[in-house]
This record gives sequence, C-alpha cells and structure tokens, in this order.
Amino acid sequence: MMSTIPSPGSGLAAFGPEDDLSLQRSFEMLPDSSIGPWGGAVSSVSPSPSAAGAVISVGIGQCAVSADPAIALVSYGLGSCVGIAAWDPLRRIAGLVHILLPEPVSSAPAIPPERFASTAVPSLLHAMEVAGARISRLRLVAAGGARMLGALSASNSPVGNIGERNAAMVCAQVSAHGLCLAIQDFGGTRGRTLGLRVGSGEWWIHVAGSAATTKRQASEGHVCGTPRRDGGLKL
Amino acid sequence: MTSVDRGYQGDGSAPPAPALTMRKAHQLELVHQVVAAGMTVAAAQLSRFVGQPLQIEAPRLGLCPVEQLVETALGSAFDLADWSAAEALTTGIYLSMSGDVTGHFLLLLAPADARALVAPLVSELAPDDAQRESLMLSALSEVGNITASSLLNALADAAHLRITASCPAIVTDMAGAILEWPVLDLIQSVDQAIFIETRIRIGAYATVGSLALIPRPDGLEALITGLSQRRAR
Repeated sequence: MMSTIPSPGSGLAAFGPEDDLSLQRSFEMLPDSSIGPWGGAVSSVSPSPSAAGAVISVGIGQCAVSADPAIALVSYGLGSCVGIAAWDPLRRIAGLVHILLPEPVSSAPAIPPERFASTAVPSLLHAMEVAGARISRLRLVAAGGARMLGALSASNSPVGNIGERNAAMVCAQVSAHGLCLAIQDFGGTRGRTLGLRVGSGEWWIHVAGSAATTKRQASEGHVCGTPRRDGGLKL
Repeated sequence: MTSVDRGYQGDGSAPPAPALTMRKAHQLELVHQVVAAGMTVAAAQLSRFVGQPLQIEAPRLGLCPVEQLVETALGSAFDLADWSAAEALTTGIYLSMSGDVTGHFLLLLAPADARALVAPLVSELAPDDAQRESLMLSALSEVGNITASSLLNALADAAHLRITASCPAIVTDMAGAILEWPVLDLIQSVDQAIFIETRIRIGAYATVGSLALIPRPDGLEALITGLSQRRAR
C-alpha cells in the first residue's frame, strides 16, 4: 500500500536516477485513497484545518518532502519525539521529519538518519535542497520533546529526559546550519501534533487535551518562541 | 524503486538480538495462544471487578519494525483506523513487566470510557468531586493491576516462569505519545517489535478498550523457551 515512487501528478518531489539512493529511501508517499481528508474522524479530536486536502502522516523515523499544494504533512501524537517542519516560501516546498532519539549511541552508525535529531536535520535540509528548495530561505517549525509518562520517566533514567535532549539536539543542529526555528514548542508533559500545509505554509500545533490549535503562516518570520510549560492533563 | 521506508529492517548499531524469523512462526503461535488464553482470564477478572459484562475479541499477534509500532498497534497501518488515531486523546494504564519476562503492558481507553468504566465503583464511595477524581485514578490503577496480574499469572503458570508487574502508571495523552514509550525502550536493542493486542467491549457503555502486551526480545525468548519445554514434557 505504500510506495516511494512519486506517481504522476502527485506533486511529490521527483528524483532522477542520478540522485542519491539512500536519500530516496527516506521519501515516501501514500496513495491519496488511503489518506482520510480532514474533518472525518479527526474533527472530534482537533479543530480541523479549514482547507480540505490529503494528509501524509509522517511516522517515527520518517521524512517526507512534497511540493503538492493540496497536501499537508502531519506528525501525529509526538511525545518525546520531535517533529521538524521546513517550508520554502518561494518554491512552496515543504518537508517534515519525525525524530525519536537525539543521537545514536556511541560510535554506532546513524541508520536510518531520520531516527536521530543529530542526523535527521541535515537529512531534511538535504532532501529539501534536492527537491529544489533553498536552505537559506527555509522557515522552520519544531514541536515535541515532552516528558512522557511522568512518574516512570525520572530525570535520572537514561530515557527520562529524552524529550529535553531531543529538543536540545534539534536546536543545536538548526543553529549549526545557520538557521533559526521560527517557532519552537518543546517540553511540558503533553503530546503534540505538528502539521504543515504545503501550498500555504500554514502550520499548526495541536496540544493533547487543549481545545485550541496554534495555527500560523510559516512566512510570519523568525520569531523564536519560548518553551511551553504546561501541566499534566487531568483524566 | 520498491517501497522501503515505513520501517527500517536492519541496523548495525543494535546489539545482537534474537531474530524473529519464520523458523519461529510456530513458537510465536504458541505464545499467541497462551497470551490469548491469559487475556481472556484477565478480561473475566476485569468484568468481575467493574461488575459489568464484557466481550473480548480474539487477540491478534502483530510483528512489525519497532518504528511502526504506533501505526501497527493502532491499526492505521491496516486501514483499521485513520492515520490520525495517534492523535486521539487516550487514557493509558501502563505497567512494565519484570522478572523472567520483561516488556510492556498497556490498557488503552478513550478518557470518557475510562471514567465510565470505574464510575459505578467510585460513585458509591466518593461524596465530592475532588475525592472522586483521586478515587478514579486509584480505581483505574486497580483495573491495571487486576488485568495485568491475571494475564501475567496465566503466562507465568503456563511457562513456569516468574513474571512481575510494576505499579500502574495512568496517563492521559495522545495515543501516539503513549505508545512512544515502548518504542523508545525497544528501539535501543531490537529492530522488530512483537505485540499481542485485543479489543474489549465493556458493559452497556460499549466502552471499547485495547489491551496490549509488548515483550522485550529476551522476554519473548524466555516465554518461548518456557512454553516449548513445558510442551515437550
């Protein structure tokens, strides 16, 4: 049901045979038929973004880049994971990567690169560039990095502060490439959904249990936000 | 080019972990049977605790790349659910297994269903709202304890192993964020995750919950060995 081959008219970045195969591996698309439009089952959970259109769900360790204006890239239910969305306002190309861990342990190879913040950010930027975007133009939005399962994730446990470490590594990588996160929404104890509409650059962050969804145009500029500090959810 | 990336199959970085190969299909089937029987017992105990009738589906065994655990366990990967199922606000009752079999035990319910499940128990005892809230959490912890202990006891008896469960943690969050926890734990050591999951339908509220057991690879091995030995005897 899944294919990495951009079908005609899909608008996903097309790659020639000369492109790096390892990079292509990280691209994927779903046939439109398998993607529910907004406003279906979702609407009871989150306020559905106004425009209808297909959604590409970007799961853990995945990266998607698209130039199809009708598509939205979404990472649902980010906990300590971080979603990093990039948008080129001129070429209207969008990318989203969903990382799980800050970096590989010790000297182990970072395979697949999309799993780790340390390698996923360069990988996303490269993918955007290959698709025709210019890195210096990119607007970046990142969300996630929460502290999950409260009691169990004590700060002294190696995975307890994984959200914090993910967020820190994403920030470090973004600055290392001379970029800035236009919006960052890290920390707290709640899950988040990060979505980015390819055509308009409109992104949204939905925080678990809150009725409101933060929505903004990615073109609104480089205002670095402050980490969210929210309490736990009541049952 | 063929499809590659809803999951990564091999990882040089991971410490050697027992591969879940076809050779072991019959062994997995054995585990599946025993867990399924255990889940039925657990459901029966839960039904008695909440004083409501309960239906349980035949548990399904899933095997997937660890990174796809969220989509696979929620059913999005099979078109059983929308991709946004990972975003749905969910109450998770989580226990970690230790002893001879390590891994994760999860009971996932819609928050309203979790309340409805224990409401009859709580309303008898709690006069005011503040007390009711904390009693609900204790009641849900007890739901976790009862379900997990009946299931794990059934497993331990069948395989002659010692399996213990941690205290339950109750968390209400997006389903994807809750399932990230086992992913984070498993991905350090293994590429493939195995889980056994069932849906339960409780009482007149038509509460539908999901009960999942996600063993770590060493736990799975211990279980397979224990069950095979018992069968051989």
